[in-house]
Amino acid sequence: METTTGITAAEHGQPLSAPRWPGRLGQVLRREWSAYFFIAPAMLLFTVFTIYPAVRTIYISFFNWKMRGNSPFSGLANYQQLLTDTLFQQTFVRTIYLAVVITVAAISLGFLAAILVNDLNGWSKYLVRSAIFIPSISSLIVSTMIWKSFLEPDGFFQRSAAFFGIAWQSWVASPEQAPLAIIVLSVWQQVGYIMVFFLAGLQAIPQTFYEAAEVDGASPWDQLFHITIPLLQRTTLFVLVVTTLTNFKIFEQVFALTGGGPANSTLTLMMYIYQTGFRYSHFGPASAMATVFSVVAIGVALLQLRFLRARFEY
Amino acid sequence: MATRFGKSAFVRGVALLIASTFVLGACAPATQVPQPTTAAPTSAPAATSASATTAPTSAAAATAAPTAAGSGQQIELVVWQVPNSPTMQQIMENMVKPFEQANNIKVTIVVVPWSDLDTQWESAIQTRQTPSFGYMYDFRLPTYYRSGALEPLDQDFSKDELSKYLEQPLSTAMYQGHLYAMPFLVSSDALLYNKAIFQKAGITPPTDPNYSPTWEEFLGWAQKIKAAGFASYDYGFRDIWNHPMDDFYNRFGCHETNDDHTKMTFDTPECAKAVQAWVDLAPTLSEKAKSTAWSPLDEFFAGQVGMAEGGVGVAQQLVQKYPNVDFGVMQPFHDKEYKDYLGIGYYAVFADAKNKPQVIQLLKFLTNEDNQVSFNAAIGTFPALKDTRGRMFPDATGVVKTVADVVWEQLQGGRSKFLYPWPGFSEFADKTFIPNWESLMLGKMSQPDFIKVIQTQGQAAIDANKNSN
Repeated sequence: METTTGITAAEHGQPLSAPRWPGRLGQVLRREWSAYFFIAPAMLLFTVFTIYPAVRTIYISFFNWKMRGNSPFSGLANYQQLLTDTLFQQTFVRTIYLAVVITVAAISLGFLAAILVNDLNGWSKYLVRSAIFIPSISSLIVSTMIWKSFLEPDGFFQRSAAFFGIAWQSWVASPEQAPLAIIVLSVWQQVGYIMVFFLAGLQAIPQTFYEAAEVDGASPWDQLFHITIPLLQRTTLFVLVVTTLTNFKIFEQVFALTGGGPANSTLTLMMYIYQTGFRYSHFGPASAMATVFSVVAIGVALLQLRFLRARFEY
Repeated sequence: MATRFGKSAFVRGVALLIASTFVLGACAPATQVPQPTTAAPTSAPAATSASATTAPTSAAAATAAPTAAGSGQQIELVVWQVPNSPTMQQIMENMVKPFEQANNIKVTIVVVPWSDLDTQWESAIQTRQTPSFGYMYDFRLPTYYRSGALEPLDQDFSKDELSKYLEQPLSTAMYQGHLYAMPFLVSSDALLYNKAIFQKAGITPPTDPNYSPTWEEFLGWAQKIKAAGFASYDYGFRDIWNHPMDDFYNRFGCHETNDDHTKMTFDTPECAKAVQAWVDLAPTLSEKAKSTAWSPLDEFFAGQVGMAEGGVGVAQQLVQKYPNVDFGVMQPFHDKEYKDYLGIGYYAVFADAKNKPQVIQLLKFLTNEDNQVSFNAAIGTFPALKDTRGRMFPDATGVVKTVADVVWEQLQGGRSKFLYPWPGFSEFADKTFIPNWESLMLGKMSQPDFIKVIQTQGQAAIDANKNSN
């Protein structure tokens, strides 16, 4: 008789009425010790560098945390403060806006790049693929500094435009255009990474589908919308979730390119959390912001997974 | 036989892991703020083992302080320094060598990038993994001594030793009657101008380097320089310091708060005039100024900007890199007051530092007159000690010597003023003043609105932080 775990009682030699926790756990551990042994180092690192800091952050968010000395318990005061912190609210909305725009643009361009690269042959395929992918493996800070030299007043773009008699407004000097600089830089940096995932997905689609569609008289656009895109839904879902989370956490580009300015026009939530904690020494409110941000990000990811689950299998 | 561990067991295991880390995180030991000793700093001089502040460096290093008693193990001290100079690591290592040799103490110099300084200090203090002492700049220092992270030093320096220091740098490091850091670097600025640009703009500059133009005169020059096709003044919009609040506004008699920092006083005629002055100056500045912090200087060096403020280090760069360009010097402009920017660098001892006696010994060594002179000579600033002008830049000629004279006159004469950062000041400057000031300068905010925002939100910041003093 098969148990809920898929293992029959006869297979593990235990009676059907084997004791549950903690006895059951002991049996599992004894049987599966090798599996836990192999994942233990990774779990330890994950616990120390991810779980523990996260839990500690949540803990700190309930205190009026001092750099040194006694930190009195403050309950929900740090969270209540967020309700009246207009800069936090503006930054939150701005972060969501940037995340949505960058995600949509990067995925669209990454998909387009994958389609184009997939159709290439020979050396051109490798050359173009490498050229698009290189920004993804470059140091983000280094890339940002290079872009800064292009975008700043009297930078490469402005001087080149002036050479041709074109007036060029430096993006990083304008509150309206500075967010655009962040978007362009982020999309440029992410397209290659997304392209690789879509390329792998494209190459996994059986050619027979396209051949059959061609026989049936489907145009290339029909094939794209009725074969390619539906069969890439799993890949798209993965890329969407990962890219959204990445773009919620935008920090390096803002830190190195604009510092959050001009006039806070590019201040993102991560940058604001960093400033609140390390420049103003308000670790309690910074932890509260980080907790709220994490809950929202996880919620968005779960919603994406729930509503965009793949419907097509092959 | 296929084996699978149960899903429920796995979930329980993870839950147990998370719960245990929560308990671990909750079990942070409570810490107590170290209470300074009760003796006031102006009481009878404490006995010191390295009191020869004017003795040659090698003799001052060879003092009688013991190494680790009886252990035979060499003590290691760690000093955090910032890159005041590209060769700061080498400068500091050369400076501490005699000390190391005389005392059998290993001194490790760690140069911390400016952008990482606050993060490193905060992290070190939180984790109690601090170096022996470190460099901290003026307006950030109060944050640390208010938090109890620094060791009081008044018992380690005699009244006689402290009397040799310039008053303002020393008083800025005082908190609740105790001294929390030793100044060893002061800087201020002269007004430098490109003579060729002045000539093209039809401006006849004053011949006296101690001349200080009025604001109206300065603005007139700025507008003429702009009309001649150049940018007037090398000053960035995106200021990450308190610079626009301190330096510029104070010259107009605009004081953001009252003397005890309990009331915002930005809605005064003097402040309105200062705001108007910035608005008038904005169109004459360069495009690059709109996205840079403080004084980028590269445009001034390249001969694209007519005026800039800079100290001896800037003058030295000018002479070395642009020997064919003729620069003039004068005092910065004034209006109601003659107050200029004062920058101060400090060494502060961490409360959690180990081997305190040796740390104090090294601190005294590094801040003795010889080392202050050699350090500041290397980076183009001045010691925080009185009457050291004769030892600084003795071989300087031309514009470098003139700048040194002008700057020293400001420092010794008390013309340079440091704006003491009230609790919450940094946050208010970053979150409110600078962004709104940028909007004002970009023409996206009116002056009355700007003044109103600064006044009301500044008062709110003062009220929110009044118990932090």
